[in-house]
Parts: sequence; C-alpha cells; structure tokens
Amino acid sequence: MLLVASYLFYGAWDARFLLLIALSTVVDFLVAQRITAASEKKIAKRWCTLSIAVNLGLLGVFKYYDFFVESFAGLLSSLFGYETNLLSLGIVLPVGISFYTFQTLSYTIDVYRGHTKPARDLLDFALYVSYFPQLVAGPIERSHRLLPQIVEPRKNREGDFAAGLYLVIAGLFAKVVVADNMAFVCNGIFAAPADQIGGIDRLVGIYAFAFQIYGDFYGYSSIARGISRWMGIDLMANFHMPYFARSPSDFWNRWHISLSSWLRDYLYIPLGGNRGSKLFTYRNLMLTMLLGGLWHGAGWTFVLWGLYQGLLLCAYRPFESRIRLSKPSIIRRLIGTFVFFNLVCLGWLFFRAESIAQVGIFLREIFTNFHPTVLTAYGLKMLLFFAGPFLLFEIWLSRRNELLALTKVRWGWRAAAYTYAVYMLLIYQPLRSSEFIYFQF
Amino acid sequence: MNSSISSFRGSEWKVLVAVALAVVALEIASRMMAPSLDSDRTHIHAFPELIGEMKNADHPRVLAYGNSLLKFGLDEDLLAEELTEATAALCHVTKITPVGTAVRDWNYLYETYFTRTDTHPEVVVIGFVAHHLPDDGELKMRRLARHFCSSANLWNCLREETADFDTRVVGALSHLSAIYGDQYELQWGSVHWFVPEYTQEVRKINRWLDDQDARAVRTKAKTAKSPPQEAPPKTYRQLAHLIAQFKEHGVRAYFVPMPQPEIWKLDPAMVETVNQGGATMVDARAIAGMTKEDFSDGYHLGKSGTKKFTRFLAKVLAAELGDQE
Repeated sequence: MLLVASYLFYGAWDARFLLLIALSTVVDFLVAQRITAASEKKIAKRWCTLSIAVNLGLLGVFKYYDFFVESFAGLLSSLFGYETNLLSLGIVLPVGISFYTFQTLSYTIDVYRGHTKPARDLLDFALYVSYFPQLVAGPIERSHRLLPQIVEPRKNREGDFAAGLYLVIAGLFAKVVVADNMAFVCNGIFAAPADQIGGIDRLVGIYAFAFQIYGDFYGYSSIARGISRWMGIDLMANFHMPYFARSPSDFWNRWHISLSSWLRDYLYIPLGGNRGSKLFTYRNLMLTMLLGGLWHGAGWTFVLWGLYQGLLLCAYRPFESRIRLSKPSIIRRLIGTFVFFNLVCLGWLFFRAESIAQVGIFLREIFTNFHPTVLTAYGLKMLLFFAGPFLLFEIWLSRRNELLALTKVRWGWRAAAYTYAVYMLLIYQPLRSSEFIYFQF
Repeated sequence: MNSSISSFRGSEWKVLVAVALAVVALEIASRMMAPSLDSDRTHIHAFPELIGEMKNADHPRVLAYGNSLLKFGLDEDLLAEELTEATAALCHVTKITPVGTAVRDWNYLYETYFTRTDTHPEVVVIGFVAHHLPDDGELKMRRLARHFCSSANLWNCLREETADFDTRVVGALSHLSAIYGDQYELQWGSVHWFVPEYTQEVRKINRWLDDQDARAVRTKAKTAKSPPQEAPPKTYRQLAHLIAQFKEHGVRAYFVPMPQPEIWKLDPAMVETVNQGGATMVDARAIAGMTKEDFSDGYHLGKSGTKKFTRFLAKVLAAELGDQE
C-alpha cells in the first residue's frame, strides 16, 4: 500500500517520470542480485560499475546535459567568438532525481562492499527507492537503515505519535512561518534595483536567505520524519542545529547530514580521504565539495559554492582538532559561532545569487556601502520576529542536547508551544508562497 | 499507524485538545475583531445595516455599486440632494463599495446581500475602469468566499471561478473560518506592532518582485522560438450575469466608465455586452472641466473631482429618472 501511495504521489507531479524511477529501481535490484551471485570480485565490480553508470547517466542526462552543453557553447563563443548551435534539449528536471539516485547508488555500492544484503523482494526495494515522505527531498537514507524497516513488520512503539506530532509541527513552522516569510524578504532584496538598496540591506537579504534555506530544508526533512514516525518508520535526522557550528567540518556534521555522510562514504574516502599527504587531503576535500556543489544544481553559482565550501574546509583543517577539543568560554564560543555563521552566509550568497555578476555586486556593496535604509530596519525586525523564536528554541534544544527534548517536557508546556506554532501557522502564512527549494535538486 | 496509538493514549490527547481549544478561542476572537480590522472590513460588516436602511427608504433608491473608485469618487449625500432637487422625489443613495473589488465580487455580493434578502434598488450605478469588468480579473478567493458568498452560492463560486483544487480548498476554508478568510488583515494588523515599516516595505518588495516577474516573462518571450501570440480577446460572462441579475429584479443598471487623468479606451466587446443586456452606459471618462488636479493619487478622485463627478452623474441620472417617469 505504501508503494502504491508512493508511486501515486510521484506520478501526481508527472506520470512520465515514474518510468525513470522504475527503471532505476529494476536495474539496481537486478544488479544487486548479480553482485551477490558473482563468483569473482571482478565480475561483481563490473555489475557495480554498470549500476553507477546507469544512475549517473540518468542524472547526467536529466540534470546536467543542458548545463554542460550551454556552458560549452558559451565558452566557445567567449573565447573564439564561435557561435554554435549545440543541441540543448530543454529537459524538465525530474523532482527528487538527485536524492533517489544517490539512495539507489549507495545501495548497490553497499551490496558490493558487503555492507548490506540485497533486497529479496522487488516490491520492498521499490518502496525503499520511492518511499514518499523522503522521495523528493531526502533525507538520503542508507539501505541498512531503511530497508529492514520496510521489510520487517512495523512495531507498536511508545512515543511514536508524540515524536511524529512534534516533528510535523516543527517542520511546518520552519517551512511556512520561518522559511517562506524569510523568502519574501530575501527575494525582494535580490530582486531590488541596484540603486535602491545599500550594502547592509544586502547583508540582511543574505541572513534572510540563511534562515529561508534552513527552515525550508529542515522543515521538509522534519515533516518527512514525523509522518514516517506515525507509520512506524524511523528516518535519520538530517539537521542538528547547523548554525551553532564553529567550523566547516562541524557544520557538515550538522547540515544535510545524509548528503555530507554520503559524500564522505562514497566519494571522499574512496578518493583517498586523509590517508596521504596534506596536499592530497586538500585535493580530496576540494573535489568532494565541488561535486557536492554541483549535486545541488547545474549552475556555475553552485560550483562556486562548492569551491568555497572546499576552501573553507581546507583553511580550517589545521585548526579543526583544536576547535573540536577546546572548551572555550561562552563569549569565545559565541564569537566563534558568529564568525562562522557569517562565513556560512557568505557561501549562501553564491548559492542564492542568480549569476556570478550578482555575487560581485553584493560583495562590493556589502564592503563599501554601509548606509542603512528603512528596508534594513524592516528586514532585521522580520528576522527577529520570524526566525528569532526559532533560534531561541534551538538554543534551548542545544542546552538540553536532545533534538526531541520538547516531547519529554510536561504536556502543558508542549501544548503551549504547539499553540504558539499553530497560531503563527494560521496567521503568518507568507504573502507569496514558495516551493521547497530542494525540490529542484 | 498502530505504532502511534500507544503514545496517543498517553498524554498527547491532552496536548491536542488544548491546541484545538486554543484554535477555537482564536477563531472566536477573530470573528469579534473582524469588523474593526480595517475600514474595508468595517464597511463590509455594515452591509446588512446599509441594505436594511435602503429597504425602508423612500423611492427612488439608488445604489452606488463598485470599489474604491466610487467610494472616494462619489459623494452620496450630494447625489441624493441633487437628485431630490431635480426630480422632486426624495431620493435615497446607498453606497456599497468594498475596495479592490471587480465584477466577479459584485456578482456574488449582489446575490448574497440583495437577492437573498429580496431588497433591490430602483437604480444601480456601477463605476469601473477597464480591468474591472473582464472575466480574467484577479481572483481574490479568501475575501470573495468569506465576505461576498453565502452558503447558498459558495459551491457555485468554487466550481465556476477556479479549476484549481488548492484554491477551492482555500475558498471553502475562508468561508468557514474568520482566521483563514481574514488572515492577511489579521497578519497586517499584528505585525505592525512589531514592524512599523511593514506596509511601506511590503509594497516596495511586491513592486520589485512584480517587476522581476514581468522581466522574466519578457525575456522568455524574446527567447521563445515561436512568434509571440496575441492576447486572447477579453470575455464578459460575469458582466452579462450581473446585468441579467439586475434585469430579473427590475433594477435599472447604469455602467459608468470612471474619469482618469488620461482618457482610457473602452473595449467594444464590453460595450456590446452592456447594451445587449439592456443596461445603459454613462460615459464619464472625460467630464468637462475635470483636470489632473481633480485626482488625489493619479487614480482616485480627490475632493474637487468627487464634486464634479457627483454633479455630472446627478445630472445624467436626473434626466434618466425623469424620462422613465
């Protein structure tokens, strides 16, 4: 029934792409069987390579083909003045393709590595690939976590309803109240005519985007987890208060955890990880983050964002262990968190900008035009009004060191918190609605 | 789902009941606050009273029907005075002019407040400019369903006005709930306490975003391989229905293209619809002696413009009423 629901859910957007997900499912199911049945490692490797080729091939055609063709044509034109008519296909990007492709890839690689057993039933495996709460925007689940939960009969667990309720309300609040209201501020500032706003306005716009993307993505993941808990399935936490990070590796242990751990396990470590010279490690970090950036979208601003994240990781690397092991005073911790939050925000500028030229304008204005306007006051107050309470709640969670801490307090407190969230959801829906950002990836 | 049941049996039902009670309290508070949310809501909540007064008033009863163009552009006391003087009959003028409305809203509003109470004026004057009468006007579902529809015509409205499931749900929820139907007004009212710059900056951002959307449409049109298609001709189904409603109840309808700083073009298809329905067009686009200074904001009439327009209308209506007698 969950499989039918999942296929209906995906098909409701565009039934044609059901074929794509079905193809990916059947190929990986069969390949995993072949890998296990292979008498020699060499043959198993061939099957694994086939799975990687098919999955990355689909991703390449549907997500990156047009980008590379257009970039190549642009390069020819700017370098040699040679105008080409390369075939741009104008392909519609299937929703969630990056997520389910990575999920199925991890499955075949894990079967090849012997970390997981192949699924026995095609329908169970099909549900693993297409499980609707996390199909379009993750978390990217590993087979050893999700498959057994699908195969085994679901258990009657204490606390699932309460946890699910909390996760769904928190997710809705993060998406509708925080992300979508911040989207209005951010989109306005990014759309403003250059001469009508100052550098501080632009900085406020980037801060607004920081909370938009966090609320948006955390919100989706949280709702997916909440719904799953109600169905007896435990999805991994994809976020762990990321803006309290004090270093890049700390950040990537808190932000989009399912992707960063995927990149670590299936890219960074196979590339050699840190098992070589410093230069070799830096190369691996840069490559991993560049590809991570490209995973987010077929555009140069995403490549730039990946490059920036790689540089941050490299730059912080000599101090990482000191930062991780140190126990600084609250003031120093606050300063460290604030400084790193701003570095993350600088990265968000690359991520959000519509072009590299816009990145340049924003950077120039931020560092040269310090005149606040009425928009500055408006933007800061909107940040305080919508993102402030969310941040305070996370500080409380952080002090309790428990993501589900609210489900463990007395019911009256929980009711008060939910009432506030529902009130905000009912009254402060955004002026313009926004789609989930990660649907496009 | 079984897995959830045990924890629901714990304390979570208390949480849900508490939240549900809080939502009910919020709904009651929203209904109580609704008439004072803004001047437009105050006006809307006064409809039953205004229409009740009209029902008991002397004949001929004139209904000034429209939006902010008539709200600010017509002096009802002056019109009543001038008409009474000209026709020697005690005239009563009622103004029903919720802001930002157009023909779709006027249709449902008339059904809900006039037809259902069987109260009709002898004359209705509808003030408009070009974008108020075609069928493709913006659908403001929340307010339409909440304030201009009754339970009798709500389903028809949801079925006829949109094919989009989400918008239908929004309409149904808005009709049932004041929190939902008046959400934007509740939001604006409360955010203002914390963000005094809210209105001004939201307008600015909306303008920037609209400009950006328009630029994107232009760019898309430029890069499109197929030649740009001409906009389809405007249709006037709603207008025809409104005129038919008036006709059915013996109401003489006068459609008044309102004055604007620049003279604007009338769509021949619209004129034809008005004429075919048996209504009368009173062209007020260029009133003698009216200048740009008669407008307060480049769109609405100011004090002097209101007087000029009201006198112009009184003169035309007096002649019409005289002819009818």
